[in-house]
Amino acid sequence: MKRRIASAELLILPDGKILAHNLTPEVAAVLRELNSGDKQMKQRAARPKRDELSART
Amino acid sequence: MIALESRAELAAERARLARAALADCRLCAHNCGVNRLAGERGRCQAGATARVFSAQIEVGDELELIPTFAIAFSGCDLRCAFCITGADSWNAHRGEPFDPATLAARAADAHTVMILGGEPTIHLPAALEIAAAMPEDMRLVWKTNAHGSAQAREWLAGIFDVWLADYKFGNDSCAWRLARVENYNAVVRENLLWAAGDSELIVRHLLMPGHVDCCWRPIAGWLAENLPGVKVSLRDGYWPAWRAKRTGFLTRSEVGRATGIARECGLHLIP
Repeated sequence: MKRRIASAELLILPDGKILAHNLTPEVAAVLRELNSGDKQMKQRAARPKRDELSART
Repeated sequence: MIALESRAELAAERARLARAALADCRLCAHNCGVNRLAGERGRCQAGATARVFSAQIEVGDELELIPTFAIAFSGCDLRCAFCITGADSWNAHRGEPFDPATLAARAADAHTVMILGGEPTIHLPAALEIAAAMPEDMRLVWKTNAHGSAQAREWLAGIFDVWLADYKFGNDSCAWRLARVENYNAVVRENLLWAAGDSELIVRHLLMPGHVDCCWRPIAGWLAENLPGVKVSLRDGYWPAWRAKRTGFLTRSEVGRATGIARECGLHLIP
C-alpha cells in the first residue's frame, strides 16, 4: 500500500472530555500538553520504541 | 511430513490452506459457505483480496501493547451501529492492497504488531501472510470481534502472542439489534475460552450508553465465573459515530457504575 500520512481523530464532548481514535504518539504528546494531569496520556505519549525496550531487558 | 518449526513457516503454510478454503468460506461464525475465489460474496461482502485502510504506529490501545503498529483490514462480518471506523470497516473494497514485507519494515520500531479491521478473521489468509513476514521475536496481537469459526481458530493456533478480543454485547437481543448478529454470546464465549488456552488473552468491552446492566453486567459475571483472572480492558471512550449519532454519550455515572460492577466481580482490569 502507498505510505499514507498517519491520521488520528479527536472528538471533544460538551463536558470537555476529549475522545481520541487512532491515537498516534504525536497526538498523544499534544493531549499531554493540554492536560498535564492526565497520567495515562503521559504514559501513552512517552511509550518507548522497541529498541529502547530491548535495551532495558 | 516436514516439521514446521518457525512461526513464519507455520503462518505461511496455513495462509496457503486458508486461501484455498476461501472456495467454501467458513472463516466466521456466519458460516456462509460461499466461493470467494469465484467472486461470490457472503455477509461480510469480502472478496478474495484483502485491502488495508490504515497502517500506522498507535498508542491508544492497552498500555502493555503500545506503541503498536496497527494494520487495519477493510471489511467486517458484523454491522455494529456504533462502529468507530464506519464505512472503512463495513466496506471490504475500501483501502489499498499491501505488501507484507513493506508492512514488516514499517513496524520495526513498534513494541507489538496488531492486526485488526474491520475484522481480520474474514481476511485470515492475508493476516497469516503478514504474520509470516514479521520477525520471529515481534509480539503479534490478534485484535478480533471473537466471532470466528472453529476452522479459523485451527489456523490461528500458536501464531499470535496476544488475543485482544471484544466482548461487546451481554445478551443476544442487543447483539441482534445493534450488530445484526445471531447466537452472539455462544460464539464469543467459545472463542474466548479457546483463546485463553492458546495465547495471552485480553478481553475488551466498550461501554455503551444505556447498556451497563443489560450488556456489561452479564459479561462481567461470565468472565468472573469462566475466565477468572483474565485481563479485562473496560473502555469508556464510546464515540457516538456512524449510525449511532443519536444514541448520546456515555455518562460519568454509567462509567462509575460499570467500574463498580467490575470490582464486585473481582475482575482484573488493565489500563
